[in-house]
Amino acid sequence: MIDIKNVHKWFGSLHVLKGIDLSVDEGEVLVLVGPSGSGKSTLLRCINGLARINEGQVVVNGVDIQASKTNLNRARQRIGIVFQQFNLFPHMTVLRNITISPIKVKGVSPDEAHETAMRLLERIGMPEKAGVRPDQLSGGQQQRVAIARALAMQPEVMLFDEPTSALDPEMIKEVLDLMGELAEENMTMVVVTHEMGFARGVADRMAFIDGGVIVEISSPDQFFEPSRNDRISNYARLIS
Amino acid sequence: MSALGLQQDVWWGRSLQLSWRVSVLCAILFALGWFAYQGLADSYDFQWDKALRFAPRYHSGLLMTLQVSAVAAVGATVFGLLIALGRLSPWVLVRDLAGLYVHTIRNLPFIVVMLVFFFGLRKGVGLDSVTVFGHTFEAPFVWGSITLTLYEASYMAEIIRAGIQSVRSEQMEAARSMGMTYLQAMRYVILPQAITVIIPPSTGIFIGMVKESALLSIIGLPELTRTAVDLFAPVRRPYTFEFYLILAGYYLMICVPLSFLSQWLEGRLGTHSRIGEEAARGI
Amino acid sequence: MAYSAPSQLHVPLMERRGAWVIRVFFIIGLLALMLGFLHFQLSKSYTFQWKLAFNFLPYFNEGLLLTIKASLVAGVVGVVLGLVIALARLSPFMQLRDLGTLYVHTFRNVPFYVFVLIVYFGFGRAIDVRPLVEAMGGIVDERLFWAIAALAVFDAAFISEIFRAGILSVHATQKEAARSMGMSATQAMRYVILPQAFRNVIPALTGELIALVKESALLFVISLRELTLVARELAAHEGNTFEFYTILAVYYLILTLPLAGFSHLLEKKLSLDDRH
Repeated sequence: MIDIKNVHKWFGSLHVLKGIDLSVDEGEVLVLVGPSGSGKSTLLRCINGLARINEGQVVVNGVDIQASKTNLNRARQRIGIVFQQFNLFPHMTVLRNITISPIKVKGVSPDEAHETAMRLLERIGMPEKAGVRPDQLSGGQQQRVAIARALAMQPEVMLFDEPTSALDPEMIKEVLDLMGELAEENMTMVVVTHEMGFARGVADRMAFIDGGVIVEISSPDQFFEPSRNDRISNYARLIS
Repeated sequence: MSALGLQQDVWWGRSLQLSWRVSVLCAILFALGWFAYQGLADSYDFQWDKALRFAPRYHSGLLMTLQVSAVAAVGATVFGLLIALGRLSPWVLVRDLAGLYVHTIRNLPFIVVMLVFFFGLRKGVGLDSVTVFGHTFEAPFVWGSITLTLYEASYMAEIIRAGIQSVRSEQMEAARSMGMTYLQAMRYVILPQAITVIIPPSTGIFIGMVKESALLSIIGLPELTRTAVDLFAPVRRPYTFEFYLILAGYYLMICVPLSFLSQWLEGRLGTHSRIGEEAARGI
Repeated sequence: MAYSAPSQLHVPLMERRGAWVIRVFFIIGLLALMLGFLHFQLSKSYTFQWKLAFNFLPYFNEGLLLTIKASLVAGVVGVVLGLVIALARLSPFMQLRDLGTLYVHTFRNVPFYVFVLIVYFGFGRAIDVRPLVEAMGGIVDERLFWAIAALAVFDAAFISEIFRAGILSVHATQKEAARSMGMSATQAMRYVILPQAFRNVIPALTGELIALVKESALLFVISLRELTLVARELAAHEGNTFEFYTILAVYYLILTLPLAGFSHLLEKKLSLDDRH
């Protein structure tokens, strides 16, 4: 589903991604972990084109995202992303937040979009909040709406950029639970997070990134092997 | 004492305070004004009765001023938006060009721009009067509107640019990530949020336009100032002081309510822009 | 290990360190092209006589001198007056505050053009300032006196706003610290607040000077022989309106652009200073 080949990226003269090779199968959940500044968020943003690469290739479901002649807007309709700061549109109601893109970008009829949106709101347990503005919701609620907004476009891939890092502890669970449900429904997901519990329970594979390089990529069990004693296990222990 | 009673007492107390303050102020102003007037009247023969008779004739000029300002307001907003987008464009050279426009126009006096356009470009371009839907617009109005539009657009561009930049970049990211084009993102996500930031300084710009329009009298536009000046020319010199004071009074009548509106908007929507301040000067 | 400058290889072309040269060249080239095209098109209906126009530059220079003189003097007077009004607006006396506010609001809602007319053709005719002018030893004539007066009084309103904002921008904690040491309000203002306020307002004051220069253009109505009047007279006399007015614009740009650049640099430098 996602094929990342030999990706290099420089920020000015800073080499932030040094030859990343990665692939994600359909239905797989890949969790990216690593210290701050390791490049994991940047890598995620390369997948939907928010960040441009200098060398290499990023192919999502057959579309070369970074090629200049690709219609990026069209490609982005099939890639959903959820941000750390939710980024809901504050001047729109929850319902409008969810329906605006299907209507204006995909060309879905307003009635259909409305129906889909209400279904999604029921799914996340907030149908009564349809007419409410984002600033009247808690952080956890906003993030769940953000996930619903991404799902409304019926994407093939869902990207998560530290979705719970800006949330108060008591709200983290509701968001992680929702993400777990998505994983069970076989959604292809790439998640950047510090939540080791989630990684352990939901991820199919985990990748540790440090200094712009994938240090290790393996199953969660191998990651959290109690008998290992290296940089990665130190990191994992630190975070958990 | 009931809660309601206390509220009423507070209200009475405040309005009493306010009226006391206003009356003391008026007394001081009256005293100052009286002294100044007596001093002036020694060497100048004020003839208010004769001058005030002419006051109603100012009204056609007032209308023209408002007309030209309204046209320029719309034009400057549209053109200003284009330039603002240019200033924010990802192509460095487009940014440079837009920046050049803004910085040049803002550093020129309006009158100079007006002179270059009306007495220079007009002869070259040959655009005199414009007839649209059977209504003819004379050259001073046409060129006056064009000049005022282009001049104020540079201020509007900076205000709009500041407004757009005040919307966090993550909003643009979120919009683009859903597949919206740059223009769709601007239209549905960024600009609606930017408008709150743009409106208060824009009222300042409109006030500036009304004041700026006074200069259009030089190219013969029959707006407020020109009307006033033309009125006393045949009548005789001695009325100049009264006429000009009345003229100033008219401008105050238009601009003071507008500036109160601007302050109220700033309070409600909460921004204070230096660009808006500059533009409100109306040079 | 020897230090080598970070490679610029992966930075977009137009944003590299030396790229500004290319940008400047490109802009100049594009401008030359546009202006040249404009010139060509316009000369079909207008005969340009640039050489003839350039002969009159000495007149422009005289006008420039007067513009500078008027602007600078009015600037100085305006700053003093503006400071007084700003202090009035910040004083504990309500009436003083109100008077100051009234002053500012009046001048902000009247066009300078109209004000000049009022001052010269109104007050100028009503008040005889000849003794005052003679007492000053002939450095100004009556006309220039009124011109500077009009400029100074009008701009003082805006300058006072700048000062007021500058004073208010000095943290209240500074005033608290000063008063806690036993300084009176005046002393606190003089030794602690005003010096800091001055630092903050310099960029804005430079902007004000630019505005002054632009306003001085309107003094032509009282027949003050500054830049704009020179241009108008020449244009009326010789008939080469386009050339003369364009030259006029260039003269103003020569005055204002350096000031604008200076103000911009100052702002940058001051905001960098605050970073520690």
